[in-house]
Amino acid sequence: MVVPMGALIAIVSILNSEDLIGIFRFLKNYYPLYVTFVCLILPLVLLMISQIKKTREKVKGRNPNV
Amino acid sequence: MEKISITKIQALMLGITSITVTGHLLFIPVIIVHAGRDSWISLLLATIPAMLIGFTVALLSQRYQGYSMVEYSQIILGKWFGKLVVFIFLFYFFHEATISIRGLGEFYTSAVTPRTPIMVFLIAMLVLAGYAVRCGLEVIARTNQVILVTLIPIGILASALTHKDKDYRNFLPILEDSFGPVWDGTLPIISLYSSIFVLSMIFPFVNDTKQLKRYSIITMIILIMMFVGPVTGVVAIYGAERAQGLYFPTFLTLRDIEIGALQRLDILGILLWSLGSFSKVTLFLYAIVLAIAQLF
Repeated sequence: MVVPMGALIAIVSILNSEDLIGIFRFLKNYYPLYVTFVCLILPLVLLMISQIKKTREKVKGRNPNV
Repeated sequence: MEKISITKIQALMLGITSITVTGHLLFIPVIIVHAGRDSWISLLLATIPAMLIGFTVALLSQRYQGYSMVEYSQIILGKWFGKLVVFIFLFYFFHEATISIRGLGEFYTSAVTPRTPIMVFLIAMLVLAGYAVRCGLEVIARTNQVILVTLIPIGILASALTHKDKDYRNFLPILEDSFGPVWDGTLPIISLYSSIFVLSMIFPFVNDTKQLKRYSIITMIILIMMFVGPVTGVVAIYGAERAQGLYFPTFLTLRDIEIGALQRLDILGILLWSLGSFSKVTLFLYAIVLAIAQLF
């Protein structure tokens, strides 16, 4: 899996037609929201759902009729 | 799953290297373009979200011990919706790896060796990263330890040697354009620090997860501190207006060092970013490969 994925990254990097200015434009305009959503909001949502499940199991443990 | 183990310090050091290097190379110009002379305030504002993401990743890994992000996403969200979310993470890992490697290639071809085709740097870096991934996580972690121990003194040296050129009056007036530009500068820093989430793929291999949350938060504070010098240094040396027009301001700072016979220290910057990019690309490639293996 290492070789195909490495090759894919190389191909995408090489075929990417953006120059340095394009990369900086992307980092300035789109990247912050996109990465904040994927790496901050989604993990927080995961944690929240996990916490809800945990609390529900705890309540169920105390009262099986819930 | 591989029968390997690394220490939590090694895991967090991988996060430090990968975030610092891309940040210094590609994000400092973005932060300065947004926030100008108030970039340091943007950095301070990013502290709490950075600590929050460090805490979240560590807490999830502690709660689902021995499970990677791919596995616990499916436990939390169910098989199909979990897989969908993992695909989003996987796309991000892939995208981050390509941006980092392309950024390094652009840095080489625009600032160091303009006549060499960019393909040379990309392929060389990926071959090395691929080899490191094949050797396993323990090798990646130990290699990174050596790299980070080399990088930190270089950073401190660069900061100390440029001290005489710094004029801290360049930071005045503070908040001239109110908080708008500062907030615009904060968002890229938060996104940069959020990429520590990649560690959720290697935390299952950490041999002792006690106090992982505390260590993660300390790591994020260290990361903030590692950006204070480069961000303030560039503005203090060049002034906000000139710094906003520079593509690789931290590299130029190193290039401009002149203390007697000690000059052209840009080689240190090249060393710093090449080694750091190697660590980052290796870490992300490892995360991608492991995620695909666990997903299918």
